[in-house]
Amino acid sequence: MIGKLQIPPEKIRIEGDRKTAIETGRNRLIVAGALFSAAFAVIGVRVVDVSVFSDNAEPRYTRSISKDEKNTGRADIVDRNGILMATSLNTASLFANPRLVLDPEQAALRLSTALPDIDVKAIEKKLRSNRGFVWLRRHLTPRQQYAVNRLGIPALNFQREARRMYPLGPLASHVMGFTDIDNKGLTGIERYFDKELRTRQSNMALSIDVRVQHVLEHELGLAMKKFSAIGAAGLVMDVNTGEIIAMSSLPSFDPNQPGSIPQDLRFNRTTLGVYEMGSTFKIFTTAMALDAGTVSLNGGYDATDPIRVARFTIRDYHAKKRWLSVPEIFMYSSNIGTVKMALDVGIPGHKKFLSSLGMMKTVGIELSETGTPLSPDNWREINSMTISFGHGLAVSPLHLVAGVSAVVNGGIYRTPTLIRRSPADIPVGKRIISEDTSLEMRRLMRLVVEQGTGRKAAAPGYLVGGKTGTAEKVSGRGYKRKALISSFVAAFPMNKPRYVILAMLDEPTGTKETFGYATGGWVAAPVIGAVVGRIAPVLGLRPIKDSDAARSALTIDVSEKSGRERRLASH
Amino acid sequence: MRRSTLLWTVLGIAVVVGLFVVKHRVQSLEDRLHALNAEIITDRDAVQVMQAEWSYLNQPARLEALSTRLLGMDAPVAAQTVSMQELLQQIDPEAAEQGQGTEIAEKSPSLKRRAPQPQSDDWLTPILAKLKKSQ
Repeated sequence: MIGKLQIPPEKIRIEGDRKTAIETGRNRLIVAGALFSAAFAVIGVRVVDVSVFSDNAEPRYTRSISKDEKNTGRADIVDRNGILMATSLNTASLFANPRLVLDPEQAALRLSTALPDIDVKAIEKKLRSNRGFVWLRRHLTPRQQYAVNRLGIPALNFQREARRMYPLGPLASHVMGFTDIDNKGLTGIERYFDKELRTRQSNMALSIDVRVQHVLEHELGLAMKKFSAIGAAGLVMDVNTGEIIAMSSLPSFDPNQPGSIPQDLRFNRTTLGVYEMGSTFKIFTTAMALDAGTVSLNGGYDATDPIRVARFTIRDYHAKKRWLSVPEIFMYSSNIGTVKMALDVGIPGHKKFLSSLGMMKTVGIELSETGTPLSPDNWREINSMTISFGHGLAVSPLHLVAGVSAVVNGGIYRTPTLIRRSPADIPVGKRIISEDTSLEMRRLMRLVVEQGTGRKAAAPGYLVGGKTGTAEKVSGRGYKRKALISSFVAAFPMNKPRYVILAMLDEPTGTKETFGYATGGWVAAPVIGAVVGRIAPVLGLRPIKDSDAARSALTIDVSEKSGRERRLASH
Repeated sequence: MRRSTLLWTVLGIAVVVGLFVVKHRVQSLEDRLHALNAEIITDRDAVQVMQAEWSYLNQPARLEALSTRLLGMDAPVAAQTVSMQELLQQIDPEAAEQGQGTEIAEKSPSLKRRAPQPQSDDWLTPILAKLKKSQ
């Protein structure tokens, strides 16, 4: 009741209040209206700006992927026929943000259910660390990724990463090399072309033929096992282009497991290892003497007595103790005759000839693992004498093969390469010996396989010709009698050589079958015969029939001491 | 005055609607492009994996083992390679020696069937060409 009585005086006061309220309301309305019009004006200006002036500057939401754009970081490597040798695959890598992990122990334990082979303790330690990013596991398989995803641990995440894969496994592993986990090339082609492989858009084609590579590795592996050798090396080179068709160093490794490759397996015996190659060097000495004209195929030297120089005695392994013609010296691998041949040419000529064949410097092949030859600092007569039959100058098997290629291909030296060359890119090369000398050398090398020390290298129909080589390994200041480097270097087909092939065994031991011999003719030559017989059809060579003119043109008359001529080559 | 106002209003609305429709369509096209790009990347990854697998399954060592075990194949020897000339000689020694053995063909019916030698070469050419190409 009392409240009602008090209403009239209040109403009067409200009258005054209402007036001010209306005033305030109007003012507020004006302010709000002004703000709104300003906002609309801004929007309007922006609309004009966006739609008229800055149309092109607007970023595209997405764009189309071009056809030849790569989605992995590193270019593929293929062989000469386009077979994939190395590729990059996208995989998921697991990482975590430890700051977001609520219970590291529990998380590590649960993770081990998805990835059974992880170290739970180590993972837990990683998850406890006070960092924003830790790798837990690189390169998961899609199945593992799914399993981890199913756990639903919030702090875990995946990063798409490319992983280098070598689908052919250990095949040509020393050529390919491998990369580390961040796809950085560590050895082989991967290292030499690291930068180019990163930026290259197209595949990189090597000169290697995986079929030939396989045959070479397979046969070398068998021989290595049979003669319990500690290692083996093999090469096949195209004599006309300089391309390396196969390069094998055994034992090999699996580049897919870069972490577990022992250091000694990475050693590339074909390019990095330098060895005194032994009698295979007689090819160069004989070619040099024939080309210099100091002796002809009909000439010869007396090999009755061993040569004594200072404290050395140079004797023959297959001693005949009589005057030998040049073909006989080559065929019986006479050290005495070869030394005399080299001395007739002279020391400067010998040195110059070998350096023109690239025997004094590293081979310019596309690998970082190249060995520098060990040549005498002060080249005296005794050096020329021993180097003439392959001792006192250590070169890599690649040096030897490149040199022999030049001798048999008509006399042109071409630097070997691991990259496929199109016919237009074949370098002119450097002439070392005349074409006539090259033909004579081919006939001599053929003679070794038909009648001499390399009969086991014969591959029926493919006219193999070559030279054996057996050298004792250097140990300290002397030679080890039992530790041999046994090799055989050959070319085929000898009427018109296409390929040079080398097989080398490191420390082979003789077996019952070889009557205890572990020399090149017994252990390495059979490898050549087997490999050539298998790769020649692959390389598109037709076997040559016995009666063919090409074959008989290569035979040599071997004249004996009495002067009575005998035709040795009886096919 | 009124008419032109109306006209401009209608035009304005039409432009706004048109712009909206175009913008919307562009956006949906870009969405589709985005989806397709993602698909292309996935497919490329898959192709890459398959290429690696193809190469892995074609390891020369594996092919050798399989063809020896399952097909009884072995390394070829020179005697297994025969030239076309020698092949003809095997099939028909007299005809090969006498060039075109027309006289014999007339006499003997069994040789008559073999007589059209050029034809047998004709059907071989495409196969040989194919072989050459695949090499």
